[in-house]
Amino acid sequence: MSSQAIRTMDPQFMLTVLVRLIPPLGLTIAVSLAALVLATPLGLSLGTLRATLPDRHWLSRLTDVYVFVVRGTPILIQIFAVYFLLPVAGVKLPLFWMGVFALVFNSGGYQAEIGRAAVQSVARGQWEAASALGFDDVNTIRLFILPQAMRRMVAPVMNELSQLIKASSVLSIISLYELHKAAEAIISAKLRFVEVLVVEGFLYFCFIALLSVLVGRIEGRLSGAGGLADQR
Amino acid sequence: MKLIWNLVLAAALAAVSSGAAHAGKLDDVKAKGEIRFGLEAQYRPFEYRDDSNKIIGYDIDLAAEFAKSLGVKSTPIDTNWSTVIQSMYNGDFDMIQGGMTATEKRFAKVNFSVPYMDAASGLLFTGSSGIKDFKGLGGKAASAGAGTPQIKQLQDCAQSASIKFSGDIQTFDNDALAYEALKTGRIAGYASTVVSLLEAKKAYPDFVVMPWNCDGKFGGEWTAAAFRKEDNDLREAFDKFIIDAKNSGLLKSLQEKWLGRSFVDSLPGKAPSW
Repeated sequence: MSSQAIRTMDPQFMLTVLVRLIPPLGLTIAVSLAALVLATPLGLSLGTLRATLPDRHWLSRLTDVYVFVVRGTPILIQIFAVYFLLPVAGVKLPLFWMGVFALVFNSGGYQAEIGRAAVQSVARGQWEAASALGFDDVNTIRLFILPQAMRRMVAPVMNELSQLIKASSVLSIISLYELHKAAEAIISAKLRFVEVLVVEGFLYFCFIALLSVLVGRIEGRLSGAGGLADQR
Repeated sequence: MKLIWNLVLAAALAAVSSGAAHAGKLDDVKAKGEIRFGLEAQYRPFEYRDDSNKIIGYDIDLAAEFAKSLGVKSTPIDTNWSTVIQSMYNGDFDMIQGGMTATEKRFAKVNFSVPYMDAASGLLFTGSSGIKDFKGLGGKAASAGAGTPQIKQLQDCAQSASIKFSGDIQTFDNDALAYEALKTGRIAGYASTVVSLLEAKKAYPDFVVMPWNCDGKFGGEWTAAAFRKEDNDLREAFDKFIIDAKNSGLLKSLQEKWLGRSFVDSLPGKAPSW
């Protein structure tokens, strides 16, 4: 940004842009939170299963392929694929849910890896100790492994959530009237550029900062509840 | 990329044509009581958003009048311009009325209505750049809107004028980005329709708009509504509406309202086809 661009910024105009961008910010929040609520349980359970099931299990193989596809393709292509291929496959979703679907597909893959890594990071001795005390696999995971693993998931999941929120801006290409699409519309109508992008960036920042604070609290509470099981 | 879209389009076409026997698009629209038209609300003064985020513009008023003539309501659907034709075949809207220039390439996929606006190409420079004509772009960065016919026009004209741009032609999804790039000197010239460029000049007085037909190499370009190939009934109804609107003075008054002057007398009475 040139210094001239900064000098010519008009605070009055930026305020009107801010007001106009509040409803689309609401849509960005809605689509991101809906995706979060679906992708986090999906991804983390897949990851947990992946870490506890044998490599040859069909679910392990399916998860591996899924993670490979998500990691190997840009979100732009994933969103277009949802937008153009789902209708061909006979699935007719409203635009909002197409957006959620694409984000869940993308984020679920990354979160599966987070879940897998967290579960695998729990010391082997924890499994052996639980088994020695007569706990079966399901109860070992439920009572010993997951409580420790979940604490380790919080920080990387927050990382992934901030990515997911920012990735929701790519949904503008399928014309979901979220924050970025709305900002582009204002840029086109007013033929002003820098001010709108500054306000747009500020709104993304505020949303993610707020979420970080909330997640930080959760993380604090979880580590506060740590018991003997997490001592190594 | 293009191959992928063609495959997707072919699949979409197959899915549509294998569906149950069609009652006709016009009957469909009347039964729904609504006509949905696709556009991208980023093309002032054809379609853009006012301060309350409502989509307004020449196309919106015209579509509302068309809907009125059918006794239905009109709904603009804001979509991504570079995939607008695929989205129509996807069933997202009944027709495209978004300031689309009728071209041979697009005609391979859609049918056009009788033109309702002049879409002659123009070039945009900054006054301070000192560039006076197309040849002045030699060795400089040229650009056009993504998915617009001006990209090919720039290529063809560069060949016939035997000049070379610096690098590839840059394309922009959003005209406003191109104007910003032009102002800051990242590009030296931007090709679009004269009408939209004149709108930019209102905001930036330093801009210079030059009508451009590459010494007659192209020209006679028109803005028309686009329809799926199989929806001829709806297209004919739209054609009839445009011809009536020309005769009644409606088209003239809408053009004066949004475009500053009337282009009605120069518009051809026949739908572009190849």
